[in-house]
Amino acid sequence: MNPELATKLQNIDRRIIYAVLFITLAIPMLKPLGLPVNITSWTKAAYETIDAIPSGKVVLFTASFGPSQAAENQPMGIAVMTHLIRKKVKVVLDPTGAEALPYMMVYANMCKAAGYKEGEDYIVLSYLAGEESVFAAIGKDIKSLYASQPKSPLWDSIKDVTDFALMLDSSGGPSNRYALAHIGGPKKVKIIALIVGNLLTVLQPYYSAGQLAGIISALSGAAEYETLAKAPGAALSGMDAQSLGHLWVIFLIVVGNIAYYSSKKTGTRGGASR
Amino acid sequence: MKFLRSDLPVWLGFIGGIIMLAAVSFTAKPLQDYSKAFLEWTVVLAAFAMALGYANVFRIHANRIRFQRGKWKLSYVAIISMVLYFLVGLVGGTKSEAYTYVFTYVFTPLSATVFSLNAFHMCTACYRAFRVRNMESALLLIAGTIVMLGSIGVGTAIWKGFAIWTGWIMNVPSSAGIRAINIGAALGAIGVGFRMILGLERGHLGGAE
Amino acid sequence: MVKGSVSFSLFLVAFVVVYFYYANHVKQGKPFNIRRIPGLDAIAEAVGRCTEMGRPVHYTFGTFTFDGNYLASFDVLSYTASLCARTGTDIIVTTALPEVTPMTEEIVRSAYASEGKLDAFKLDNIRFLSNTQQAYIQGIHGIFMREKPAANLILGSFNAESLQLAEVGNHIGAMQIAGTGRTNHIPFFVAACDYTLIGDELFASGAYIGRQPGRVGALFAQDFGKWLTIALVLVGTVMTTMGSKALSNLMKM
Repeated sequence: MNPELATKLQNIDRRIIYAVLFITLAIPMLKPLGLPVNITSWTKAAYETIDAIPSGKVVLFTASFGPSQAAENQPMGIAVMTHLIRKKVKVVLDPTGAEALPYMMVYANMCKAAGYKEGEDYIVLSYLAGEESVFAAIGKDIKSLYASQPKSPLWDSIKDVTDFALMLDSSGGPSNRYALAHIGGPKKVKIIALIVGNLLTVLQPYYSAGQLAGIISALSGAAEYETLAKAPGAALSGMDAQSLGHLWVIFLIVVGNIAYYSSKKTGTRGGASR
Repeated sequence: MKFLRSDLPVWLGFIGGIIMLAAVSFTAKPLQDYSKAFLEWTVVLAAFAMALGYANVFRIHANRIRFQRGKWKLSYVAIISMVLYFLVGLVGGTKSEAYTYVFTYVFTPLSATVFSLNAFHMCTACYRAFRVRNMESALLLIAGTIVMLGSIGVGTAIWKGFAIWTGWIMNVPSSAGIRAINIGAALGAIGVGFRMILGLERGHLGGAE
Repeated sequence: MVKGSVSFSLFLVAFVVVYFYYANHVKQGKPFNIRRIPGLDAIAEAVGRCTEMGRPVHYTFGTFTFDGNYLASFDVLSYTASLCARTGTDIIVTTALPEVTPMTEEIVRSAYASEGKLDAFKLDNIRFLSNTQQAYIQGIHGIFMREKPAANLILGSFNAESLQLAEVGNHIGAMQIAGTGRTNHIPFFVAACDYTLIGDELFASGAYIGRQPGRVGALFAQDFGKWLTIALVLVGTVMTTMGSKALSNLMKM
């Protein structure tokens, strides 16, 4: 390869990289391609765990994500809620992050639209600050923690966190590990983690060890769950864009390496730009 | 004054820390009751800490305006938007239409826009970092490419093996590495926590050991 | 005792004993060895680079909740600020938590005072940007574009801003040293920074830099914990493979 070309290919202008990435992400959003979705074992495990919950049981759904993570967490939350509502499972919605309440209200509105009665089939708990302390207190005595929660048939039926058939924790941070440490471990409550992509490597050991019943991770996990639950939504339409974006990144890596080796052979040093 | 700023926080930390640690190991009812009370007090304290945090933000921006430090005119924007949104939440409640409107049409687009820059930064970081300079970087490149292709439908359409190998990489070498780092980090956190409880760590009080 | 807490309690007791033993060992002036941590050694090089180029050092902690990572980072900040005071280099410290700002001011001020350069300390260089992640990121972008620090030290507890901070630092050609105990952000730093303190290397920084007895004692206690974990994993693997549940039952006591 021409040494000058090799150097140029190792130092492609960021603006070109960003422009092409923008195009690869934008085109599928305007014209969906319908690319297939591969189902991972951890998403399948999450689906099967939720599918096995009998009708009428109660699930605790905590969320601590905000607008930054909503693009990944919200579609998976909606898919899971669709599944739970279809199975007539009761839900206690608990915003454990300051920015999560509006997203929990979307789930509450889904329940209302499906004919769920507030107080009997679903409730929304109030937000309490404290992060890990809140999870620790939920594990110790949830009723005492939410003492100011208005009485209702659903809330009165819960005496302890072990009365929940399952706990779903949706977050972009460490709250899944707080839930594992204070609720999943000591109280043996089944937990499914709904997480952003970069947390998958962190939570994979817990899933492998059987401490997590399943993981739904990133937009791809949300798309997988929408496929399994037959509830197509924003995730499936976003996956086309993600697929093309990944291909562009892989192309850049290949081009960069070919140019790097070519410049090594000819003795010129392009090097990665700083 | 030194007692209030330095010694009292250390003693409070010691008493609270010892009770919570003891409650992990011993079932004595008074201990469990105290630890439950401490947890609930922590939740209340966290709420007050949030309020204190906002008061601090207000104070910092107000001082910037007062002493005309840095880009002090922008501090007016910060304070006015902070106070306005606070009043919207206070008057209408956090489930009100006005609160949801500001959250959905102002806060969310701003947050999502800045966060979306991550995609572009990740692209250039991968392009720069995934150069095969030695054995380790070759392994990094191969594993990264397999997982990227295994995570998308196009990859599994090209070759089903990508999905299988992605599962193996996530379950075996990646999990092993993360477990090791987590154990190390947890032990480090135990060390720091233990020193804080015993009052040997005073960095947060402005002093070293 | 609470079920499952016996093994933890025994470990904690052993941890405390090892801590005091080695802290005493160091107090008595006996020799000890800590392996090289390239990231920490590079701090002096980074400050030197800034001095030569006449540009400031940038230091930041991240936006995550105040935790042990911050405390570990304070030691590094104190060391870095001392070097900056000694060489007459500006250090800009940006914070995202309001409660961390006065602590930061105190640490940097003390570092300058210990070098006898209190008059060179600039309060304006300790900058609280915002407790909102996106505003904090943009604030740092602005500082990088305007003031172009030649070294970027990103040590603390991070959320998603980790990659953006590292990439922008890379874009302006800054030498970057990063470190966090939050495992999900380490890959971003490894990909984008010159040096990365991985996991407990950040927690070891206090002992590595200051060599104070208490910190060295904690470091050796952590190492004891790691050796114990390795031994348990090896023995447990062999025993479980041979069909014995004795060790796992012991751990569940």
